[in-house]
Amino acid sequence: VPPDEPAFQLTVSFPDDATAFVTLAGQLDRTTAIELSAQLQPVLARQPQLVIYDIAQVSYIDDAAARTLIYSADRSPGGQRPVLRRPPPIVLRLLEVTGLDTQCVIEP
Amino acid sequence: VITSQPPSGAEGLRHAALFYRTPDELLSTVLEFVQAGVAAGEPVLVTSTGPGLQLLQPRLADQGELVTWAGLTGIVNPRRITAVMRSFAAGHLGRPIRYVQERVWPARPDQLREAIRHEALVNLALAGSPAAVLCAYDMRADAGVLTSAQRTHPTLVQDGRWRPSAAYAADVLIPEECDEPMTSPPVTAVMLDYRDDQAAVRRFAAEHARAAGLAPDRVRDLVLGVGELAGNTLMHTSGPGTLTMWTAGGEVLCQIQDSGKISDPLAGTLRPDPAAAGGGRGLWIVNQLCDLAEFRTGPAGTTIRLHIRLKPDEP
Repeated sequence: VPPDEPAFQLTVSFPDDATAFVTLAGQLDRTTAIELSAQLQPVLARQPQLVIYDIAQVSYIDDAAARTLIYSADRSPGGQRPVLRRPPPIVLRLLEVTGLDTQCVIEP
Repeated sequence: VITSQPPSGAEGLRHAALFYRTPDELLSTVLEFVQAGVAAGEPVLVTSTGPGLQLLQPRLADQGELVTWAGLTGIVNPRRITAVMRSFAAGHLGRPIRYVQERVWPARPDQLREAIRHEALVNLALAGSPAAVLCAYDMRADAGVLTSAQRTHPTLVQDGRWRPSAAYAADVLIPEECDEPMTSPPVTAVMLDYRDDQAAVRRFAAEHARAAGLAPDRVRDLVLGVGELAGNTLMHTSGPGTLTMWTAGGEVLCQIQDSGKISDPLAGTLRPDPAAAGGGRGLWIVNQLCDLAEFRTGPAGTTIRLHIRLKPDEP
C-alpha cells in the first residue's frame, strides 16, 4: 500500500430500513482498527437488524478486525448474525482457524 | 506403589509413559488400558501420529462406541495436540476419560524439543481433570527421549507394572532441554525491522516465501501467521520487531523477534472461544497454520520461529 493511500475503503448503503450493506476493500489490520471501528460506528448506530459485508476486495484481515466486523454487528438489538459475502481464500482461512466461521453467515 | 492394574483418572489426572520393547507388548498394555476404561464406562480417545498404534485399530473396532480413534498422521506441530485432548475432555464433561497417544519421535532436535514440551504441558493442560493419559514409547527410541519421558510422566509402565516415576520432577514445568537455544539463522537470511508498517512486513514475508517456492495456499498461511505476530508487536510492546526469513531442510523459516513476553506456557495451545475476547489468539492461529512453532521468551524478549514445509506431504 503506498503511504498516501488509505489502507482500506468502506462504503455503505441501506437497501431497506433493516439492512446495512457495507462494502470493504483493502487490508484490515491493527493499524486500521481504530479507523474501521470509527467508520462502522454510524452504520451500527442505525441499529440494522442485518449487516451484510461484501469483502471480495479485502486482501488481508487479522483476527481483531474480523472480530470487529462480526461482533459489533452482532450487538445490534434483535439483530441477526452478520453476513460475510464473497470472502477471498485468505479471509476464509482466518475465519476457519479462529472458529469465527461459526459466528457469521458466509455467502460465497 | 507398584500395581498391575491400569490407573483410572477418576480421582484426577494420571499421566503415564509406557515403555515397550515389542509390538505385542504395546498392544497388550494399551488394550488392557482401553478395556479397563470401557468396563468403567469411561470414553477413550486413541490417537497416533505414526504406525505403532495403527496395529491396534482393528482390535479397537469391537470395543464399542466409547472408543474413538483419531489418526493424527500428518500433524507435526505438537502444539496442536493439546487442543485435541482438551476438546475430547470437554465433550465428556464431568466424566473420567482416557487418552492413548503415540508419537513418532523425530530425530531433528527442534521437533524433538517441542514433542517433549507437549508431554510436559499435558500435566498443566489437564491438571485436575479426571483423565488417564497413556503415552507409548518404543524403548528403541533415543536414550534422551526416554530420560525426558521419565521426567515428564508421574507414572511409568513397563513389563505390565505401573509404578511412580522416580525421576518425575513435579516442580519443573518444562524440562530445561526444551528451551535450549535455537540455532542461529544463516548469514544468508533476509531481515526486516518493522513496527507500524504492518502491511510491509506481510508483503516482505509473502515475497520471500514465494521466491523460496512455497505453494500459494501456504504463502497465505504464512502471511496470516506473520500478520498476527507483527500485530502482537504493535499491540503488546513499545519497540520494533524484526522479521528474519530463510530456507533450510525443505522448510521456509520465519522468525519474529520483539521485546514482548509470553507468560503462559500453554499460550496458543488451547482453542479460544470464538465469542470471547482476550489475548493469546494470535499464537493459536500461528500454531494452526505452521508445521512447527518454536517459542523462546524471557527478560530480553520473545523469539517465535515458524516452520512451513515446502512439500507438505513429506514428514
